[in-house]
Amino acid sequence: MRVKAAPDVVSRRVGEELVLLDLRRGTYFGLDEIGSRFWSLLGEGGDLPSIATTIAAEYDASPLAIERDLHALVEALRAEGLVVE
Amino acid sequence: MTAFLYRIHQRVLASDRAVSFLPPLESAASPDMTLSLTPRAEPPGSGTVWYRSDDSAEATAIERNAEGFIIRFADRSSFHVDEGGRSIQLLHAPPAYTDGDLAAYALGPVLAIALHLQGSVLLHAGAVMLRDKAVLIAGAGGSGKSTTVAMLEREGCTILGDDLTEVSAVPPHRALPSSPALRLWTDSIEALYGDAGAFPDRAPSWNKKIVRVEEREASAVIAALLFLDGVRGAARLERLAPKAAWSRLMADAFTARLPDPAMSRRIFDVMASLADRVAAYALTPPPLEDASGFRAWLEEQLAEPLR
Repeated sequence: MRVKAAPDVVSRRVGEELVLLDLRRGTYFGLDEIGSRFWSLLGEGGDLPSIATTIAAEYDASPLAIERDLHALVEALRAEGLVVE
Repeated sequence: MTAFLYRIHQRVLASDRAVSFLPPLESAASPDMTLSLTPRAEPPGSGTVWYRSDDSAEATAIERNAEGFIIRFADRSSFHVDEGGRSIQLLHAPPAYTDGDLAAYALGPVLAIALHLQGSVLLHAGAVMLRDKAVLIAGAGGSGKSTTVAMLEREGCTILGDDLTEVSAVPPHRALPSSPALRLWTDSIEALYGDAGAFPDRAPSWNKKIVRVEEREASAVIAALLFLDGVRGAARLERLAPKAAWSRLMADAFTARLPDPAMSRRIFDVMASLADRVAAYALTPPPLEDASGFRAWLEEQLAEPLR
């Protein structure tokens, strides 16, 4: 699955995490540490499996477990209109 | 029109009715904003929803028209604010509302929208001076902002405002004085100041009184953000992670969503920057009867951000 940040979504760093604003809908969303890293890698053009592999290596975690978590995150972001395919 | 002049949020306001909770300006000044509490017919072309706070029947709705914005509250009162946020005009109010009620409305939530239209960013927070810095006391309506501010005022702190604070957009963020008055429930006044009968009503139908405080004209750098949850008990301060502070700031800025893209982005940027740069805490203030020593305790707890 290849997703990208929806147009009109801006991010800001708050502490070690990112927060998002959808300018079109006026809704906002806070990401946790892994979610923030995901969003940064998404902005660099990565697809879900490659992002999961990168994050798994950085956090010494199972790529499959990370990919499963990222799928859940993408669904939440999609429901908020913050990512599109 | 007969104009009564006041200073509020660093602006000179000309009102067509007296506003009992603001001290009148003693010298003539050219107004930055006008307030009319004489109802006027709705301007034509209304109907396009520009903002709706949420999807409930209690939501505040703002409609766009050719001259500006119509703000409609759930109690059927409505106000018009011009495009640049310089003029507030009453359109309709329920018959039982007094001038005092309407002024409290107009200079509360309606003024907040007008000031945002002017390009300002405001927090639903009181602000007090501790040492030479501003400390913001934020929280939802009824969480005890004004009372907590008043507890510190009784201990000699200078007050910047008790409910709505304008913050500068560029770091280091500064808090600007709003109005030299506290709006307090009668029981808070009696616990902190004595006989509530000595203080004027905020408005005849509200069980709140006005306590005038010394006016401060200068802004101050914000050293800490304190969030109230409406609970009092053994005084306690718990540090919040930046993102937790950001969530609370956003929830207080607008209820469920933000208005148009330019205003949304400005609010979002300032809230993110504040949460990233300013130390934030959840505060449990002491009971009113234990107000003595609260200031010293708070200054000690906040020693590092106040340095």
